[in-house]
Amino acid sequence: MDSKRTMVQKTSDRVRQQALPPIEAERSHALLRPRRGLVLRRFFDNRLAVAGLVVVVLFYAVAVAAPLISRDNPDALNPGQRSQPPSVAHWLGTDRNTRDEYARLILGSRISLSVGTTAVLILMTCGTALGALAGYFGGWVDTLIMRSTDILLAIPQILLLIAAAALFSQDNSLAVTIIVIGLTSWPGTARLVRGQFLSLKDQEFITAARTIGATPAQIIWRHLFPNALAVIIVQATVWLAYAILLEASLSYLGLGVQIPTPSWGNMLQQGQSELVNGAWWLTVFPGLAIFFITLAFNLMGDGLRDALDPRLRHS
Amino acid sequence: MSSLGAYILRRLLLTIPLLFGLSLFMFVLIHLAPGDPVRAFVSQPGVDPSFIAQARHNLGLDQPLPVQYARYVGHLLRGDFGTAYTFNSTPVLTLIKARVGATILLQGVSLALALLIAIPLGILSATRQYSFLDNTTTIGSFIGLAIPNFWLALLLQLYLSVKLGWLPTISTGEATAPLPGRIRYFVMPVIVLAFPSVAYFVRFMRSAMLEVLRQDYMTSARAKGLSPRVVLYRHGLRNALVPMITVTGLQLAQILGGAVIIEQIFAWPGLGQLVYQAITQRDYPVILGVTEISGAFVIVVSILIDVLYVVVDPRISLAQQATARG
Repeated sequence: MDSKRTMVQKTSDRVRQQALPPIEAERSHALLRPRRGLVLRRFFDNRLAVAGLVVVVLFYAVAVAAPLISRDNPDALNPGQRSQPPSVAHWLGTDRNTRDEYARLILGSRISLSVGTTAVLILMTCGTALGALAGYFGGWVDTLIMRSTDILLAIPQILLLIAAAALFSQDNSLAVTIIVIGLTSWPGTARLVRGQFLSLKDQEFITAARTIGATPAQIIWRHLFPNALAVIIVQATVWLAYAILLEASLSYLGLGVQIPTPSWGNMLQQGQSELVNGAWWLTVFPGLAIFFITLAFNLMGDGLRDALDPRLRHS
Repeated sequence: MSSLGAYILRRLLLTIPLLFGLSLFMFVLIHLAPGDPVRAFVSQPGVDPSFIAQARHNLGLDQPLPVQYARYVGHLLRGDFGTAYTFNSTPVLTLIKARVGATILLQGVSLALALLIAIPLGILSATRQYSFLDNTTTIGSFIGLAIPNFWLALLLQLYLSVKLGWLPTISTGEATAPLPGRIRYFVMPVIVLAFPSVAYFVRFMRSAMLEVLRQDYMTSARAKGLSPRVVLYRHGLRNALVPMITVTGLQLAQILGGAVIIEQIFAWPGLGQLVYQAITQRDYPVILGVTEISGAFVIVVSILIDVLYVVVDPRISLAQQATARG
């Protein structure tokens, strides 16, 4: 698949080089990836992907504007109103501590999205850096990094995550949750980036760069990384969905974000005990929030993958 | 010895350093963490400090870490996984043996069901691309992949148990009930485990089938005058199933992870529940034992996949497999 892809890229590059002014052509080897306009057009032609993007933007907008639209203080108690069903005063009802569920859900989006996003930043940075080193240098660096991924991948991720979160859980649960998700998730990305680097580094433009005396850092950063970027972006989108799901699972088990800080996961954990009394709204709404953001990121990731590389298209 | 045999032997030998690395990694992780297992199971305040010190000494926790690790590995090499700190000081291996069956049964049923649904559905989707069925399957698989499994479990418990009273909420008594009665306990956990797997499998099955349908050998088989059924099943399906081996293997590798949360929710007496309890109680030998055994399982599965690949698809050589793994 890789060789086919690069053939397509090479061809498109050759076509582009002829049309470009000389200065552009000179640095065009760093722009082997498909044309940006074309990718965007393909992405925006995909209705499901656009719907995913819209939902993602909406969720982040809500998180940013949370204090403005939460209507109520998420920690404020409403005496005598334990686990009340949705009403005009409390759109999504109240929880077992009489707090407004809507306000907690809105503020919870800040926590859940920022934990997920930061964790993905950590994991993509680690994964890309280690994958790049392994792929470019090979030898013992490669062996060391790849054997480490083997070890980490031999433990089911959720198990490792639960163990690390439980053992390190401290007062600062937010930071621990982020770091634990970030540091247990990088191996897959490292392998992916390594594979990309391996298939790219024997191509002519890299040999050319090396011949004119480019340093390894320059080759990795200026030439290899931009060409692997498309794959990295798709991977990051998919991981955003998964990281939010992981945070929710951890917090649901009581091992992630700790109450009173609201996160969708710990709201589910709290709502669970009220299920027997029929308080479905405490379980349904936080779950729907997790479901929609995960769905949206997955649709977006799929759309991006198809747009960047139509050859891999599923449909 | 055949090259395949040599290959398997080489891969099996390579698992030994891997399992050592795994045990070292888990050991360091556990001991880096703040907190103390003795404090975790002697939770009453005002316990005599000398008693705590004695307990730590008995468990060997007062030794330097390298000594503790060397001792652990020494026992491990003799097949001794040690004794649990909690769980009435039962040997770890006994605990695992008592629990592993429940997990294998639940996960096996779920995985088999998921494959039985996903493979035909994927074929139908691919042969009727963009039909109503295909679109529904695509949407359904996106839903299945996005739905948090613990949330699905809660919703099922709410609806099927609390509201309708059809099924028991959790699996208490699962181990003793006779088989027909036991099925009731399986329904909800199996749905929860199988739904995302179906979603995952069906997408791969569909795209693998679409890829195969485009191949030249399919056209030539049709041109030879073979019936569409024969072309589809004898020529198409057999090739489309090859990538499913990888996907199934990847899913197998994550089994224990999924088991932890689901067994917790449904009180399923399996390995997932065991390791979760061990983690919360800081029962080091149990955590190490379960991760070591599950690691061995994952590695063996990955070897099996690579071997199966070569056996099933003669176009793939062992050398290719070796370079692809890196």
